[in-house]
Amino acid sequence: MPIRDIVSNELLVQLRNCPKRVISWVCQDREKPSHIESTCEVVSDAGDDFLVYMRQSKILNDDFSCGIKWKTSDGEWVVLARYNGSSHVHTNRIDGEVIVQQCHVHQITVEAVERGWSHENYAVASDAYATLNEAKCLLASEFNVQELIPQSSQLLLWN
Amino acid sequence: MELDITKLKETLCTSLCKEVGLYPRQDNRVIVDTPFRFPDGDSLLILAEPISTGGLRLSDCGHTLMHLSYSMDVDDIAKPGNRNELFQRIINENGLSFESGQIFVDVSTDDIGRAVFRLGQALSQIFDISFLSRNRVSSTFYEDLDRAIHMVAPNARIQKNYIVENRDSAEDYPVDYRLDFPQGGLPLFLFGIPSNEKAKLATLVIQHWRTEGLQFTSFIVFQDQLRIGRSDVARLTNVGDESISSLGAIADMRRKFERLYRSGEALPAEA
Repeated sequence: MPIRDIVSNELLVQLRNCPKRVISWVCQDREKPSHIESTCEVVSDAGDDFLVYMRQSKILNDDFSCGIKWKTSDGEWVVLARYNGSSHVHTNRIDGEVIVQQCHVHQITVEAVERGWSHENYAVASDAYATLNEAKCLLASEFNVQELIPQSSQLLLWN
Repeated sequence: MELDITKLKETLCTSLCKEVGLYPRQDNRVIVDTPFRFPDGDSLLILAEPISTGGLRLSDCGHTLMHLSYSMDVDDIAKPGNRNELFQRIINENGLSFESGQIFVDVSTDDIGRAVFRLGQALSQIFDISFLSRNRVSSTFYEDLDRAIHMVAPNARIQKNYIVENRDSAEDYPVDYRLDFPQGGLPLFLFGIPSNEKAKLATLVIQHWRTEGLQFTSFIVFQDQLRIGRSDVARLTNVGDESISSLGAIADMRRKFERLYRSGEALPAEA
């Protein structure tokens, strides 16, 4: 069924909290003209499919993005959240809040879906991360994604 | 009542100015914030920086392509095809340059207003290329397919999202459409195929019902057969009975239906 028919706060919370793990990398650090990109396939314990994608501008350090999408039973990809850098200004449609030169997290909302807006139009400013790697760690933590962050038993002495 | 053009112009200019913001960055570039926005509420990125020949460079610093990459493979823009033609046309018509993923224009400082509008309009148009992405086009495929089926068969003969009756786990093996023709004969199970994944699923469903001993004729409608993996097409056409390579071949679908059910009168004329 289309997301508009099934969206609810309960569903969005469940999609956020359900345990997920990376099953394969579609690409890692693939170079594009404007940016470097990585994308991985993620599956929940219940068998739902997700994609996590990361983008880092080659020109601006503060222009980066890390997002998670969920695949509905109709095959539609729905963005659940996207952790953006501080390179650009963001304006929320629902409340007119303007976020200037601050990292911000786009989030799907029931209201945006029901009104037919871009699902992740609503964003909140965040100082919990400042780089793509930190955004990735935060997404992994907030969306319960295992194996997104490589586990290393080696000492950091080698770095 | 006549409009006071002078006053209206003054109000418009003041109002437009309020919509524009300039924010200095640590790298000596300046963010030129305008009302041009992506649907997700992010402003189009326009950065101004001085150039050695005098004047300014207004650039998106590659942000637009990166934003596009959330929903499509931006390599599709570089390859020959519709997207590339559209992209080049937008760049050329707006007098912009494209290098190393960046879209920019060099202008004298006096021309910044006009250039900001030109660049903003172009970046918005370029973002619209994402509407041509394969994922989004595939989401309209089922609507197009539904319309096509209703052009060749009456409502009463069509069962959409058909679940086979009185069989275990039938809901795990759904059929996109079941069509029953008045001449009797086998029911027609029709599957729309916009992707490799769907091709695999349709293969599995057809094989399952054949194994279960169900009698039916299967019909495959590809969105674009050339875009489906060769092995997926091979497996599907091996188990399927009839197919058309795209929705552009509706006349062939009609002809095949008529041949299968041996009566041109069974099918209503196209609307």
